[in-house]
Amino acid sequence: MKIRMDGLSKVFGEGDSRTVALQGFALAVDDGEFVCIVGPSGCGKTTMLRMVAGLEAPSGGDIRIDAAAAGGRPMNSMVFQDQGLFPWMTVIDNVAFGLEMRGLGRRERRRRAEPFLEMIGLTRFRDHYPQQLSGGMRQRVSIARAFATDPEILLMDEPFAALDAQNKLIMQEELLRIWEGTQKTVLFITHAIDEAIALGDRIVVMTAQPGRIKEIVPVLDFPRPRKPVELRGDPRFGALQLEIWRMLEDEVRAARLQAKV
Amino acid sequence: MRKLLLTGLLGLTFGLGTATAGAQPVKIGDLGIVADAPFYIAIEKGYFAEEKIEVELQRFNSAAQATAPLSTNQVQVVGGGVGAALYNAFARDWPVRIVMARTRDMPGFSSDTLVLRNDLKDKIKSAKDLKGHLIAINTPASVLHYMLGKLMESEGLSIDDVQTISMSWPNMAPGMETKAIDGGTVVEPFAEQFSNKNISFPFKRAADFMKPPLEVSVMLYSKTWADKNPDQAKAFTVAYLKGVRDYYDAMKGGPKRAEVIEICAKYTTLKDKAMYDKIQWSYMDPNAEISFDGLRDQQDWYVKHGFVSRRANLEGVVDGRFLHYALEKLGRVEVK
Amino acid sequence: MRGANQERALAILSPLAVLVVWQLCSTMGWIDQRYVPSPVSIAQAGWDLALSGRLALDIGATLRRLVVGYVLGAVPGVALGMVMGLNRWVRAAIDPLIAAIYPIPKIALLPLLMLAFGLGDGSKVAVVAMSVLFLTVINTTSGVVQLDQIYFDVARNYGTPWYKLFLRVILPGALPTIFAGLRISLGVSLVVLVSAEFVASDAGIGALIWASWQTLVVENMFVGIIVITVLGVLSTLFLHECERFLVPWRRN
Repeated sequence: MKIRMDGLSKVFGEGDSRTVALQGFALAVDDGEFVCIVGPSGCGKTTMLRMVAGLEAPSGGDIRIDAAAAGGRPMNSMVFQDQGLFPWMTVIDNVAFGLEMRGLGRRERRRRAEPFLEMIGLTRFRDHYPQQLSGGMRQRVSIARAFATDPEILLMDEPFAALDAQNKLIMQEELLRIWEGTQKTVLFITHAIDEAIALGDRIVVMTAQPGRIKEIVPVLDFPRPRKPVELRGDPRFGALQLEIWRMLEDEVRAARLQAKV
Repeated sequence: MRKLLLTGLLGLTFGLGTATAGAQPVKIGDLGIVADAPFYIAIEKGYFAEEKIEVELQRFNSAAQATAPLSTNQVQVVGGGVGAALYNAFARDWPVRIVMARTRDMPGFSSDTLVLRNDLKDKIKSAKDLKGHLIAINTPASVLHYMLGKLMESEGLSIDDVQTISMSWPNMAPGMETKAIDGGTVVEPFAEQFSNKNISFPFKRAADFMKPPLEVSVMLYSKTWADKNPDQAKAFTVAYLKGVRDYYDAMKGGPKRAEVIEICAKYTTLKDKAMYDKIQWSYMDPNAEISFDGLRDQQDWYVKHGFVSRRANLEGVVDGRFLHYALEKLGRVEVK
Repeated sequence: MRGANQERALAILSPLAVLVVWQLCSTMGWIDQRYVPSPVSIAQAGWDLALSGRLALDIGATLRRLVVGYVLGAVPGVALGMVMGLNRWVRAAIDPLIAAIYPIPKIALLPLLMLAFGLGDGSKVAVVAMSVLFLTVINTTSGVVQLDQIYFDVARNYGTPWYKLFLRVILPGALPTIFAGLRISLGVSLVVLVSAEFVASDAGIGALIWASWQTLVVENMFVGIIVITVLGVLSTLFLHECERFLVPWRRN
């Protein structure tokens, strides 16, 4: 077990504004597994991810992460929805940021960051600033940054949500290409069911607030390495998508009702 | 017949209207100081009304500020302090004219004073001892600056032997209290007020050493106005001179003193009536005659020290017609 | 690139054109030279002032007070602003003080400052420093407070120690807003300084302007005004260059 979450819960606010974002969340993730999480808005998936990242403290339950024997590697790197690239750093320095925080000197960390820049195909933009890049390019940089420190776990919070449909497909391919062979454990949050199927080994379906696990669906029909674009042509893909939507449908409607009240 | 009567009446009304000197009110640029007393007296005692003139007062902070509006005829009359500004205005051919004298410093009636910090009383006995000290003047190249220069020259030194700094009179008090400056050239009532507050003592009054007497201010008329409305200007001068004579009487301690003090307290910034008996009043000649020697010496001094670039022909900037007319009408006063 | 060069050429030609037209109107008598001197006579007066050494003295005094006052205000201003931006208790404590004192025109405090710091450089430097201090504190605090939370999340996720957080995230993140504050302060300090030199002064461009007006040597007054304008332009350019160097990511 790489990650184990037991009875995880998170409560925000007090009195009238008390919200239970997450309740009784239990999940065990294997080393090297790619787990996708889908759920309606407000179901606490981002909160859960932040707790794994250590950015938020649990209100109840616990998280256990199995650190690798080889020391010195960071436990996790997070890829945020709106990239969070520093506008005052060039692309190469952004990618090298994690390395810088781990104490590497400028020349060394830039040297180590270069291959990751190449990996996402943006070597030409090495000395550009994030503002000069398109949304898709920025997200690639964000992913490169996450990979550059060689973390054991990758936490990705709807990283492709802001991209258009075409770039999304391309990025899904890119991500799989980069990830395959690295053995990293990935927790990937998305709204898009098709994306979850294309990328994940398992899909966790969550309920509306307070968020719990409704169902865990393994993706058995599509062995790796996968070609996300081609999967769309497979009729089993559509069937699985419909099946998961059915689970999700009630939750989404419930969430909409919650929002109206 | 009726038409003739109507036309006649209209004509009469028009005629009367324009005949009244005072088609437009005369704007006076006043400073709210005691030297403006003749204006206020003439207003209060109806001298302007007697001459069928309406006047309006327009307050300024300093004579220099009032000179530009005077030259563009936005105000018609200003009691102007003599200073480099005035000479520069003449040098630039600004349309202003000196029509009569206003104030000067005479023994017992010398408002212009050099005050020094109390703690310097024993150290500075004569002008020579002022060498190297820091004296505040209110405006560079003003009549007080000139006075200071003449004081230094009276003992063989020059203005360059003292350091000067410009600041307003009220600011001189904390300046002396904190010993930032050594003294200042002031007018009444500041000289008296500073003495009262134990800040300074009057070291020298202008009348103590100025020969000829210090010409402090003159009466200025807008040339444009005077040329276009000579009758109104004449009438104004008559009314004004009456005011001057009341002031002169009060100044000398005559029967009009209480009344004049009352008027001054009402119009000027010096509201404390008791102060009027403590300060030295400025001297006004009841015949308002100009001293050319005094004016010329001041101009020379400013030119010498680089404050005025071009000498103006002083005879050319004096217009004595109006004073002449007023003196004819009112007669001269004998000065004892 | 041609567009930029054309813009630059226009920036120089247009004021020159104004000067030429002005001189023409003056020579033809359309502008009354008694009140508005011609550019040539102003240049002449400026030359005379420069030769006599008077101009150098005044420029030196004003410049000295500007630089010292500005630095004395900006450095503590930025430092305090950062602390206030990062610590809500400090912010809560000091905000009301700033809100109370900031609206007071610092010129109104000049008599008090003259008592405390003397008549010469002291009070002028003090009034400039005060004006700059308040502006930079407010802007710096704002620059820090409005930093997007995500930067802090990223920094934490990548294990950033506190001093690196400050140097590599907070400071550069707030720098554009800090510079906005520095730019505004510069303009204000020039205004405040010249006004202060009107009130009580022996030297300085403000004193030159004021004294020239009091003695109606109008040419000198214009010389003073032009010098102040040039001073303002040059110092703004200088600050702009500093910003280009320190905040290169804002080049658009």
